[in-house]
Amino acid sequence: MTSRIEQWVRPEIRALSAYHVPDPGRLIKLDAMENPYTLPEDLVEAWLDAMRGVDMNRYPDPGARIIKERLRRVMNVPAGQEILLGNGSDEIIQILALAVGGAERKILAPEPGFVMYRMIASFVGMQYVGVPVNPDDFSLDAQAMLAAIEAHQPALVFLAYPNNPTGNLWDRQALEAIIEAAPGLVVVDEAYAPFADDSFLPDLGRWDNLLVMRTVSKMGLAGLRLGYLCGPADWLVEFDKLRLPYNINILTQASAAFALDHHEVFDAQAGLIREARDELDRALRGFDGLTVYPSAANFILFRTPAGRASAVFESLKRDGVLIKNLSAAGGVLADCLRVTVGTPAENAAFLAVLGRALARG
Amino acid sequence: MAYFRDNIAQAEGYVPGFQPARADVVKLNTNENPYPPSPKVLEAVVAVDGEMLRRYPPVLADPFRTAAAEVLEVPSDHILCTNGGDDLLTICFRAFCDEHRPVAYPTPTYSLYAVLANLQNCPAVEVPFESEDWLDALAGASAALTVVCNPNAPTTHRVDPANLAALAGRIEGVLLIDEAYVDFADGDCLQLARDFENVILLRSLSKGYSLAGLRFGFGIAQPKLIEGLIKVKDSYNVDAVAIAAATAAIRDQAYFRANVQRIRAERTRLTAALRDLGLEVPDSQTNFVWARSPKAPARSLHQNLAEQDVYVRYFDRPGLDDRLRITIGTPEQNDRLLAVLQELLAG
Repeated sequence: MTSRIEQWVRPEIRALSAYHVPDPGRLIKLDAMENPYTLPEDLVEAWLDAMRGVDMNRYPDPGARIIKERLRRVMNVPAGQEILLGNGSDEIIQILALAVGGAERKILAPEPGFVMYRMIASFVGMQYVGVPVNPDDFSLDAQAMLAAIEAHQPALVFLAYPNNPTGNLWDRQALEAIIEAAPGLVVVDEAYAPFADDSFLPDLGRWDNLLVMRTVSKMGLAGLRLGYLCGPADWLVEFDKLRLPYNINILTQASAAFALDHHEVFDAQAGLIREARDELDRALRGFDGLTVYPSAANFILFRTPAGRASAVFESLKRDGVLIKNLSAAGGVLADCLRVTVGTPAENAAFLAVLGRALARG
Repeated sequence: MAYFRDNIAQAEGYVPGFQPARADVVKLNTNENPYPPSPKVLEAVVAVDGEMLRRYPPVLADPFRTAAAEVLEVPSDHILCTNGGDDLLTICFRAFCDEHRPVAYPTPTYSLYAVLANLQNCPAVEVPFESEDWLDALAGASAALTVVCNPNAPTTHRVDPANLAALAGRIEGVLLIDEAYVDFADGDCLQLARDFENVILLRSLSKGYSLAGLRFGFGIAQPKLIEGLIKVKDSYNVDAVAIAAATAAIRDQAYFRANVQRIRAERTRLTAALRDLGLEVPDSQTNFVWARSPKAPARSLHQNLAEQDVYVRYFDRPGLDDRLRITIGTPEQNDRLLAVLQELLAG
């Protein structure tokens, strides 16, 4: 068997390790950037009524027109720009990579960034170019980005805005220069848009190579898989050829339409999370020895004293709080931990055990 | 820069069947089950709470894996859940095929295989089912991935599992048996997934379980193949609501069997009635029939039926364009189809 796997599974797939998601058990889960709030009771009832009306034996609308129409309206997608839906953003990234891929073609992104860009480049047999950010504050090294674009002529540039795992927004002028310099597509990945004060969605149409990608996962519906890509129709027609025709199931379509009809509830939740984030940021800055990085997302990256991150992470876990340990990869993220913003009670529980974790030798 | 790869720029993509906006038509064009899923499915969906929606779903859809393992009597690590059977096909093409690793499949068959081969830019070896030695030709194709749709769409026939077992033993690569329609067949290839390390079965909840809207399929294979495919799939490829619904559906085997039995009974009746109208209809192992009328061109029959709000599938492609693919509906829907056909063929 092993020899047959070696013979047939493409070498670059064998070399990968699968995306690892730990079992949460009974921990307070502040590791995966999920929305800590559930829907109010009356909305749950209304949602269930919507589910009861769905004909599950029928295939979903392949064009998902109802969701697109609502997204256009609720998110203010500029006129003349098209929308493509994916079963989560991961699927959209795959579609983009497959559309422009090839052994000589490259994906370029700032590093550290969202790991899926690198993984998907590998799946589709493209080259990946990571451009290091400024190590002191994780800001974009604009000169290095422009030089790398000039040298590598990437088919795709991904700019997570705000960036994951660092949480910061890049300098807008630098991004505009990158969009202008890039020979291929520039995808501004706004997965964390509900928590940020800036967006490139209103800028769509200013450049013919700009695309904006978002997700409803961070809107409070991580259990549903729905990502969307906005951009010029000429591009999206080509990408749509790569989309499986029924990629968004009928319950997701109905649920997303329902959620968009009640978007003010999710907007209010995002508002609470932003407030909680700013409070958590202030509290973290009160601990001696921590470096806290400003965040425009629903998580905060912070640096522990040298060599302490894994001990702090383990101590928190023993005390029932799961966050994300980014230290193992080393490099600029050495000693770094990332905490998702939870409810005020969850954040307080985290801060309480964090004090103990830092005090433990 | 020519942004798009040549094969994408020239591709047309898969064309799904027409979805009429009105609900009151007779819709027999996309091989959906005309009956709703088990009532337990809706119970499971409405039991989903806000907490489940807020969290990311379990990455391998473990509740479904456990349920399917019990029903099918295979270990749960033999099961990979996907966003419809199409997602499993895509994962397999990405995992096994590239410019130097061909796919092979007998034709005519599900048109998505050719679309995916084109998108993956891998050579596709197409072997006509009609040729005497199609199994030998497949075995000799040196393909990384061999796909056999069984029962086959759109021809509705079924290949003896013994022949596929022999094929699995002869080829060096992987044999993917697409059993999307197996719920309506007289037997399946489950034992091959237990016996052969290079066999993957594709199953779907779209047909016998009445969940086409849900997009839930799964693969059955030995763990080493499953582990390789897990690396290729999207991190969370099936959502929390779909997992809950699919798990409830597969657990209700009594409803499933009755649901399938209704369709099979109607298939027998519809086949006989169409033959009485003079159509050539081979015995079907699926939830649709593949009918040819010697009296009228399929294209115009298809159009004339649509004008009377009866939708069937017509493929405007050489080798397929003399037939209609008709999904088995409810007795009332089938009666309406037969009545309109009778009128059209008389006139």
